[in-house]
Amino acid sequence: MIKRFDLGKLLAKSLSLVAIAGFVGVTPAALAVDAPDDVGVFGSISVARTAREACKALRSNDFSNASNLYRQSIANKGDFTDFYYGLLYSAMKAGQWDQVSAALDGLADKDPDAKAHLSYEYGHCYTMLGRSDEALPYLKDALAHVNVDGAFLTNKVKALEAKTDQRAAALIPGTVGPDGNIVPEPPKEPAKFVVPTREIIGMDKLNPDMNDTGRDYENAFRQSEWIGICEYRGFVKKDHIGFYNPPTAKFYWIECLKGPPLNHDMPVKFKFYDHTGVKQPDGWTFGPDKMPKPKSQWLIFIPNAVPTAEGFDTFKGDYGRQEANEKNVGEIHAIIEAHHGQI
Amino acid sequence: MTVKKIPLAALLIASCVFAGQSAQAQVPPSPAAQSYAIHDDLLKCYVALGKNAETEAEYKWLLAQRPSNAPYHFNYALFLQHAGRKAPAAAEYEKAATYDGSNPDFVGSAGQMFFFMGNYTKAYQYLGKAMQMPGGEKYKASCESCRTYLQNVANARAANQAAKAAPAGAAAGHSKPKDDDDD
Repeated sequence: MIKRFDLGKLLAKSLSLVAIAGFVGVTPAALAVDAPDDVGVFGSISVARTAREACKALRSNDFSNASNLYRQSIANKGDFTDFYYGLLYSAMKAGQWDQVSAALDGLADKDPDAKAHLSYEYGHCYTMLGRSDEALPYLKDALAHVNVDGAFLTNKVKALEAKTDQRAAALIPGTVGPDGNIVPEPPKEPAKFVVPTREIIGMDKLNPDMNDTGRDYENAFRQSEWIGICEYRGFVKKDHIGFYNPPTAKFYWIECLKGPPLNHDMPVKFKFYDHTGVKQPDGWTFGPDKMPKPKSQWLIFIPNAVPTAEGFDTFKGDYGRQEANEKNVGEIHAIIEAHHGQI
Repeated sequence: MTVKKIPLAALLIASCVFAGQSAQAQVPPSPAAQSYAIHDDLLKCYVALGKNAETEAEYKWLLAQRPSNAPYHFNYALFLQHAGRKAPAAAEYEKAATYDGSNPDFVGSAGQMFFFMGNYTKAYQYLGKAMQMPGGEKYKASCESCRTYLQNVANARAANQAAKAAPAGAAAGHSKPKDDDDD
């Protein structure tokens, strides 16, 4: 429990800390966290920052630093006339007469009407620069208007301070901004990405050898190294020929439509299904009726034109053997023509 | 309020004053202060251009506004001295020495001016004072000269007084030999 005496001591200590802070220049305003960068009336963060530092130096009577900062501000934004007043005031206080002269020259260029109100500044500057004969008319004029123009420069510096403290107006989309253009809508937050849920695709659907997708001439043409019109000339007999143990058919190519000119005698695995996993139809038994008629002509599509044991594999099994009638051969010729002969 | 709490209150007031000063650094000068600054510049210009009449007018105006400004009295005295006007210059030197008695140059220059004018008593007074100040050693020679002059003057006065007292007793003794020569 805090006694009344202790509370008094605590209060006294707190007040003394505040007092010491005031002595060393750390006022509550200085302790406050600086506002985030704001372009103010200058339209640029760097210019606004330099101008605020200059204003701070001016208020703390650090005129030499203020003069340098205002000179920097003029270099960054020369069209802001009020900076010349800041430079003029701080340079006069710091006794930097060459800078005062430069500021007066700048004002004569940027704000010619102000020259009539700056007679004392002209006269004083020329006096300090040893240009007495030039100073005299200005000083006499200043003496005549001392009640009118005495506070001209101070008021200009106060206006500059006020402008420096001013924050930029809030930009409202759709209205005219400070640069004269319509303020655009701020970019919207992109919608949070949600991973779409998709059906899980099994291996049997991805592996082209395990499904019946792509059963057309376009795919057959693209994926075959060799295509030709062949004549059927029987098959090699062997034991246990069945649905899953196809015989080797003997073909003789008559016309090569795509690929290298292979040997005319072409052994081909005579598969009875188009992809793996096809179940054998009920009651299916191998017999000569399952084979083509001798001397009949067929379109043969071979994906890999490399002979292997028991003959070439055909494109998708039995789909790689198409009857070489006028329609089928015509379709293949149409595809070749569409590829401009690049087969 | 106890004695211990007085410094705290003083610190608080001082901090408030300091805060107020920093917030209002740019105070426009009063018309009177501005006029004074302009006349000050005019004075510098007239001095640089050698316009004596205007310079004197400006000195008078400035000293009328601030009569206790010792440097202006001193500079005005220098100006008058260069113009050959010793009496007013001495008066201005004396005013400078009066308003700023701690400056050895103000005091010493007043002494030298009186010395040149033959006022050795006042000169010795000012030079003696200046000589004793820090930085016033350069007036030691003038002070010594002044003391010698004063001594000579005192000797001369004593000799004059002695000469005035002598004729009454010596007149009879000196007249007789003349007669003797004639004899």
